[in-house]
Amino acid sequence: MFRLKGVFMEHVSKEHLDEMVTTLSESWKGSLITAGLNAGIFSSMNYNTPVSIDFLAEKLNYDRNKLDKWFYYCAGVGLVNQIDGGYILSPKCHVFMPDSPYKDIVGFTRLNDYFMRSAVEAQHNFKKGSSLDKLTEGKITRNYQPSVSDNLSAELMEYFKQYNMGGDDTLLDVGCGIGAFARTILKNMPGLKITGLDPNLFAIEWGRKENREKGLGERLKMVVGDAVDDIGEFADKSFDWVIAVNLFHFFPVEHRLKLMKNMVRIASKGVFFTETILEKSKLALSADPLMSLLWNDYTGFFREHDAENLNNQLAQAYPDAKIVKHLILQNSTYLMAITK
Amino acid sequence: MLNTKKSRAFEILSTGARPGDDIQKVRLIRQVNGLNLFFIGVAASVTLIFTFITSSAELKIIQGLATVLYATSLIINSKGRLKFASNMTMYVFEVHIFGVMLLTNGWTSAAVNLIILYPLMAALLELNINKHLCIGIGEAAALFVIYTFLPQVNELLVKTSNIGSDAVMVLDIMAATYTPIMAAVIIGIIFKENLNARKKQKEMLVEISDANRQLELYATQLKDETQKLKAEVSIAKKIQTMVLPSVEEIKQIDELDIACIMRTATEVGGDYYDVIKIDGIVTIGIGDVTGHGLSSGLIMLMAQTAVRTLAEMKVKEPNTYLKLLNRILYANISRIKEDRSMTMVIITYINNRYYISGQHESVVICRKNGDIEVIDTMDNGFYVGMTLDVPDNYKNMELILEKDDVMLLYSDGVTEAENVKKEQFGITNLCDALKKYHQLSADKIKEKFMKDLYNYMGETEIYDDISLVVIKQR
Repeated sequence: MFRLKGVFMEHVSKEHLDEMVTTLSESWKGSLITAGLNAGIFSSMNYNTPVSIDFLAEKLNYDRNKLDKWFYYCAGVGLVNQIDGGYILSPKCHVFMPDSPYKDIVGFTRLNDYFMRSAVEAQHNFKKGSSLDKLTEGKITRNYQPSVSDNLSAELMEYFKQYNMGGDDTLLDVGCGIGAFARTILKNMPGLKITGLDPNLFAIEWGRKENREKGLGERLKMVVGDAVDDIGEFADKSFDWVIAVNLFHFFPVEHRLKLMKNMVRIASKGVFFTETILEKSKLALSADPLMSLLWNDYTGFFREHDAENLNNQLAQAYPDAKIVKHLILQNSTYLMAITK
Repeated sequence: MLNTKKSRAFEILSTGARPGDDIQKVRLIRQVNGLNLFFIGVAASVTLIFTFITSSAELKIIQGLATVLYATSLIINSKGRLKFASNMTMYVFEVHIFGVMLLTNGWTSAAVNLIILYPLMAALLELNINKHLCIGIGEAAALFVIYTFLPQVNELLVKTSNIGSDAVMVLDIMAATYTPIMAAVIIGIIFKENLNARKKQKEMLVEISDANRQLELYATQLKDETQKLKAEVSIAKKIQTMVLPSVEEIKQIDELDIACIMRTATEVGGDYYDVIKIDGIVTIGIGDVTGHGLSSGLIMLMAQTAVRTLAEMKVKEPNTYLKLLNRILYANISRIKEDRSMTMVIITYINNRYYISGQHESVVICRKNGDIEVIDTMDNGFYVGMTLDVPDNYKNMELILEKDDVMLLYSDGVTEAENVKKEQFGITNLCDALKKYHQLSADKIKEKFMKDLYNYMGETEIYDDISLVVIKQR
């Protein structure tokens, strides 16, 4: 026994222990940020006027002692600052609060909520055919788009404008989901005529309902279709622009090049799609397995060499097209812009 | 008694006010009436005093006439002519006082001081204050001109009024007392009525607040009702979809390639399908409960339970199946006192043969070579659960599918799905889609079929449940 214990102890160095403690404490810190966001504590505060724990306890109907503990921790790690009269948000919070200029971080912070839930249900989510989205009957899909994906996509609008998208251009949004991003584009470019394509009947039903409610029926059509074979039904140059935002990690790896080529074929002006590269960021690396617990149809972020291969093949197939890679989303995601 | 007197006084003051008049109008009516009543009293009393202190008939006539005219104004106001009555009281007063001034020594008359009441009265009657101030000053100026520049006219006036030095003193005393009293009364009326109006407004505000609170309560109740209704729909959807066979369950049926889907409408439509395999017998049921909502979902659940029970009891004959099913559902539907029934086709698959019984939408077959056969089930039975009085024998149909032949079962939500032009998808589109995709696997046929259906519907809402069962012979 003693020998065994000794062998075991040899492998657990102080360094390992420290690393694990740091990992755990950082993970718990993330949980407390998520708790503060979900409980509406951060959103009840601001950067200048202090709020007291008593005030928040009454306003939010929360236990004063629990709030006190949360604030004590958050003040300790510099998420909030204590001043006369209570607490204010520290400038650090500005990174992940809704008014943050780093929309991708806002999205990633919200994503933590889903990851935590998928970890709680991991014994189900690891099973084949199961996922948190399935367990919650599509609730993750419904809520992910506005709270996470929209933030990740917000930055793209500027690039679209740089490439002169606008006027009454037509646009095909491949893998439109519930159409949230298409509606964001319409907000910025109201003259556009957008067609959204997605194989998920539920997402299409949901999106059409929202379009009806918002009176967007004429400018945003959503059609059911698979980007593997149904996209072949769209004629050459039948749209000015074709986009696929955050789609490829939900798309079979073996069909990715085919889809990219189809997109170029259908577009008369240009194509935009995003590529998230695993090795480019710690966030992408750890998000990859977690994403597969959220969705069954998650196929994975690009591995660096796969992405390079695909992009090279694409460049060879369309030598006349101008292909530009824009680094977006915390060094892990590229916006590929292909203009004709 | 006191109350009665008070209420009578209140009634006289408010005479001329109509139900529905706003608070401010009632206040003005009461002010005009109050002033007229006061003037009637004052003019009448002064007439009496003049009887003793002067022999001037003109003065008495003016006083008497003024009394009558104030009373007339009161009557006119009671008839609803508020504006006319206000102006009348004002002008009568100005003429009346000017007459009194002329006939009580003109510029030296104690009554001259009464012109300070003109703008006050104008304020009370809500008339142009400046205009009536000017009238008062104009009258005083006229008297001054007469006194200063027309002494012979002034003398004539003094002679006509025939007021001695004792009477002048009485007049002075009267002027000294009446002027502040009248001013006080006028200002008092303005303040009192304003306070009354404010009080009324406050009461109304309370009433409005109460009404608002009531409205809020109604809104909350309505919201609760809507939420209840939403919850009911969501429960019904849950009930309807939770008992559907799972993909894993269906995959265990080796001899058949089966794929199914149900999309519930905004208001649940009560669609039903099931695929059960027990001891080598595959039972496939599809049906549709009449009506919508929670009851439809419940009846669908009853039907599912009954079909499952009969399958467990190994009832092989679809004919017997449907008769028993009818009895069970009829008894249960009678209990819940809902005028509901359902279409239902039961297909049993035994030894490579399909036995079809019951009435529902047509069963559509697409042979391997693409030939389409539409089997009408209208003569195969009756609505289940509608009556106990059904024939002894439901018609049974027998069918054999060769390898790669496809059978399509569906609910009316499919054929009756409308596009934006209100055109139904119909059986023709259904057959075309089946013919187009029949070579694919059951799952792919289902996917592609739903794609065509949804894209046909476009932006229109799903009004009825959509159910589809694709069976491909292996």
